[in-house]
Amino acid sequence: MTRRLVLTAHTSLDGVVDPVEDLLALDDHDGDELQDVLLEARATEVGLLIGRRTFTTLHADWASLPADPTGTARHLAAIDRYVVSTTLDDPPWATAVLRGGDGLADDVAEVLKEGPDGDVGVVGSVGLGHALIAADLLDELRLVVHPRVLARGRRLFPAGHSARGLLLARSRVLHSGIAVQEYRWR
Amino acid sequence: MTRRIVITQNITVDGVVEALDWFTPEGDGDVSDLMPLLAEAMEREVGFLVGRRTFEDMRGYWPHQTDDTTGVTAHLDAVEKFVVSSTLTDPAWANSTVLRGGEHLADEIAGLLKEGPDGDVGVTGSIELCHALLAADLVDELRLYTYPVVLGRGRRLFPDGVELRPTLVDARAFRSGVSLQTYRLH
Repeated sequence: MTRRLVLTAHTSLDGVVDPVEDLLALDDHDGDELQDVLLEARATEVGLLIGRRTFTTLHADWASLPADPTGTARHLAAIDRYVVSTTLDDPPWATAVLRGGDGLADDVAEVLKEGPDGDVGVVGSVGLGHALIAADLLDELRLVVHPRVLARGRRLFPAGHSARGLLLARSRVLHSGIAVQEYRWR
Repeated sequence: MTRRIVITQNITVDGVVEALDWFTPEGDGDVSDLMPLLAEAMEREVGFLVGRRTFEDMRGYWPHQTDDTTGVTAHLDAVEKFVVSSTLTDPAWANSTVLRGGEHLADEIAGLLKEGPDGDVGVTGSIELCHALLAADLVDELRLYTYPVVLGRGRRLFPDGVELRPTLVDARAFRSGVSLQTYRLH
């Protein structure tokens, strides 16, 4: 495999990933540190695989190439943008629309075969994340664990799916008390 | 405070602490780099606070390990043990005290934190008791040994509806893929 599927999620200590605003809006984390984690991931990112809602948000925020010092707009413009949706029909800014559902595994196999080598990232997209985890399609999971217990909201892992013997590839801590854990499926 | 309540749990990547079939008391794989930490924790531990089921499980296991090289058996025999139960009358293990819990829990904890030698009062297993302690804000520190496993079912460490803002004070990774995150709540 020359491309890998890498899901990155901001999560609370109790596994809640949505609403992510409850984690990211907190004023006690250091934005620069999180930016560094993002920039590092970008160096190997050749595509994004995202759900409709995340796609729509990113499209609205970045497709017009607003001036931004972080280089997000240029990065997103340069990589493949795959959106998984049963309703969108040839939307602007998308490299391709995948239908997902029963065909998700085949869709992902196609995405991983085409284009330049590197990581295809999954961000936001909680529903898509559940489907990818349940179908065992992820190569890597990057958990950005915020030191908070939110006690409500949607979780990263779908109920009823188990995975054994993950490899802890990397573990580090940011000054603000965020732990970044990278797991790989063997 | 000269004594602290310290919860130590083995936990999965998806936040499950219920010891279903993913964890053995002896540990899996290469745990040699983990043992010094356990020994260190035992040295600081002056008391042990558990729920009835965990107490009975431990009483049925550790005192019968005649060739235990981990030091756990000797430690558990010697240390002050508190078991929270509304029904138990005779704990049938030396150095054990029965606490009634429920509406008395906060007072009973305050009482056991005041008397005896300084150090940590450890809590492990005892999921219901952990929920009660976390909900009543009676926990000083959380030590989470995260196993590289996703379980998809089982009871979780954090009780519903209780928001927390702990501080990450230590993090490390071990050869087996287990990682330890230590959080302070006070």
